Amino acid sequence: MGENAIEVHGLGKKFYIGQAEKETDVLKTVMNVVTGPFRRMASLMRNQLPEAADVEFWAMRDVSFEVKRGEVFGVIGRNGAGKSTLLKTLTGISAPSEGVARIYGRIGSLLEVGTGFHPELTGRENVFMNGTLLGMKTAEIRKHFDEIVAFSGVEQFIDTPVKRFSSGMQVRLAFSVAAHLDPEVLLVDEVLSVGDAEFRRRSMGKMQEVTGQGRTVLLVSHNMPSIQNLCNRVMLMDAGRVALIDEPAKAINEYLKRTHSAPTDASVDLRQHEGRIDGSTPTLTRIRILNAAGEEESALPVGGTVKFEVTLDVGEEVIRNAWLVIAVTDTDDVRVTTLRTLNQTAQTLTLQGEQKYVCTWPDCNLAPGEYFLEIRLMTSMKNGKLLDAISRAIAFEVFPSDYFGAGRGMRKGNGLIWVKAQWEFDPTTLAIS
Amino acid sequence: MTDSSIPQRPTTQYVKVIEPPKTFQPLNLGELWQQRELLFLFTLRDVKIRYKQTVLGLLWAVIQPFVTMIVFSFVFGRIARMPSDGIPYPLFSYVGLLPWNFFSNGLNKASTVLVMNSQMIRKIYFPRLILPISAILSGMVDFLISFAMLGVLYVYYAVNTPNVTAGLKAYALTNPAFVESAFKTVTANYEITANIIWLPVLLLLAFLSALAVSLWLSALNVAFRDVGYALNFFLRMLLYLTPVIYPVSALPEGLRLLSGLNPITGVVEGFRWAMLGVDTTPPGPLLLISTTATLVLLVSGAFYFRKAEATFADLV
Repeated sequence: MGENAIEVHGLGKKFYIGQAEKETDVLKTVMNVVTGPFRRMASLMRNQLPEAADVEFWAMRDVSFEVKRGEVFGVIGRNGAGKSTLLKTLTGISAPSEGVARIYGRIGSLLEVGTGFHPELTGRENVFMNGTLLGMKTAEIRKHFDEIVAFSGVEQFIDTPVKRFSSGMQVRLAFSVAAHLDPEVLLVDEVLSVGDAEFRRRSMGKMQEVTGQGRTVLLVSHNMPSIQNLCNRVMLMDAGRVALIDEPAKAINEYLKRTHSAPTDASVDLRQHEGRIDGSTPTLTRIRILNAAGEEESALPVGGTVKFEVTLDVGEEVIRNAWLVIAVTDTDDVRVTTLRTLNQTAQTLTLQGEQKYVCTWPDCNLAPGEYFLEIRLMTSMKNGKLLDAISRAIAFEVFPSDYFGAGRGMRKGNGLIWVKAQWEFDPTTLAIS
Repeated sequence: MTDSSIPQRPTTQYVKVIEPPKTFQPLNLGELWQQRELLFLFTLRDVKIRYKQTVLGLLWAVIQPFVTMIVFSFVFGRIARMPSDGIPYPLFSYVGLLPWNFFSNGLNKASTVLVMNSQMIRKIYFPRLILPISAILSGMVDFLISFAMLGVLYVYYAVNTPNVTAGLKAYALTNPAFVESAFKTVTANYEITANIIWLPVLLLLAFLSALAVSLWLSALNVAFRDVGYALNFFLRMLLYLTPVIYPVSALPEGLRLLSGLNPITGVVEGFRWAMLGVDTTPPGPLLLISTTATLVLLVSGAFYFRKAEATFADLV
């Protein structure tokens, strides 16, 4: 392992948040406006900021981590988890309340594309202004100017005030400037999601190129495919604290688990299940959802391996010619697929006492979303065919991943499954672009 | 420390340490110097956009002091018969208005510059001191243009010296040789003399005094928007406390040096001394007091600004 590029020890940031006063009636509101100046001056005399309430709020606390030179370090977490506060502190935009951080190397930061763009200035002038703000030297910008402009694709308008640009053009020009930064340590916030699809693809490519050059990158993003694709390690933040630091897949998994309001249980007792269909004999006792390693895990990335473990107990009696059915439905009760011992193994089951059956679905290519399992135990013996059936017995979650290896997934509307299709391109496409 | 598996980049000399702000945050002027290109670009940007989409453009830099001069000459010169150290009142007030306008325009721009650029402050790190400095520096262009206008006034007053006839006047204005000699006449009449070489120093002082006050006001304005409301009022009051409409010599003896506590007073008097050779009150002690006041405000303002800087992004 190499030396550290970023060292963070016990970093914290405290805010004072005001409590909104309830203004119940007009008279009170007016009185507040009138007495306000005196109250605020009084609080100034007591050496307090007026309006600043006594309620402390730690946007970030006890944050410690190290990033090695050349590492791409991702930071994820839901809104308000302290990611942006961390980034603002590391860039020096706002000072921490406690702790210390050291960054070794020339720093470039990118919290927003196009900061400092002025509508009245031309594209050219803005490139210089924005580039300098991002920490480039004028000479560097001059050297890369043609490249920057070519990458943005706005050559024709470069001497036009940017207020005449479409918003897409502005964003492209701004990103191009940012993409040509050459710092040793790059701090980035959510900038990959700008522009149209084509431009996003190019930005992603540029980002991969940048991260491939042995540069240290700290990347804050909500875009899980890009985190998965670019990062070596990922830190998950929750409520201002470090929840865990791990390899991308694990951190993303944990993140998705936490972001779901009601974390779905990976193991459900079926004996008293309310989804049991009338007329069934309670035979199914437990369903568990497992990951490839056999651990309970109710969320998986697209293309991951999932195992459904069904436990049943038929008692002393032997039941022959039975089969187990696991139907997968989405939230709209559309059946996505059915897993059936009878059809997929060409064997019937013989049941007696407590038994366990495990169905493994490698390369589970369901589109991201929530899915339910309906479990049925059938037999051709006895009078009826149905032994036990439970609808929506358990739920599991599929989350986006870089399934196609292209850096981006698909949207929900693109269908229920993702298919790794092969494409043959007309050779001219490479020649032209 | 060193590891041969990472050969591509040498151990860097840049180390940035991020800590909670100290009571006396170092000024870090080295960083400011490193970012001088940014300072230059900010200033250039301000100059470029200042008169965008105006018809009169840079002429505004002349119109403002010129019209003010006319009004002042009428109200204070004609009606109130304000003394002007023996100099024609328009010339007297115009020379006073030059540094005053530079100062007050600079203050106006610089005290709001942090709030105006809040977007940038929240999203990017750069030495915040650059903002008020560039806001004041960009006023230099206006100053130079209105300063050039002073040349026109000189010629006018040279031509209007009592012993020149009307016919000669008309002839004179078309003759470059005369214009040149007119300057010499003014020199003779109002003694521009060698004092003028002090002008750059006085201009620097004007810049520093504007910066000194702006550092306080701009940083305060982030937390207390009262500054924005108070500023116009404050500047109007300050104009009366500054020898723009009157000479310091018109003040009672005891108040003259006291008036130097106003940082811009010394500069305004100094300008007259340099440009018109007014010497009724030697600006020496006055200038010294004003300069001291400026430096005290400047240093304290810089430290205050640096300390407040830590919370700009949170408050702005």
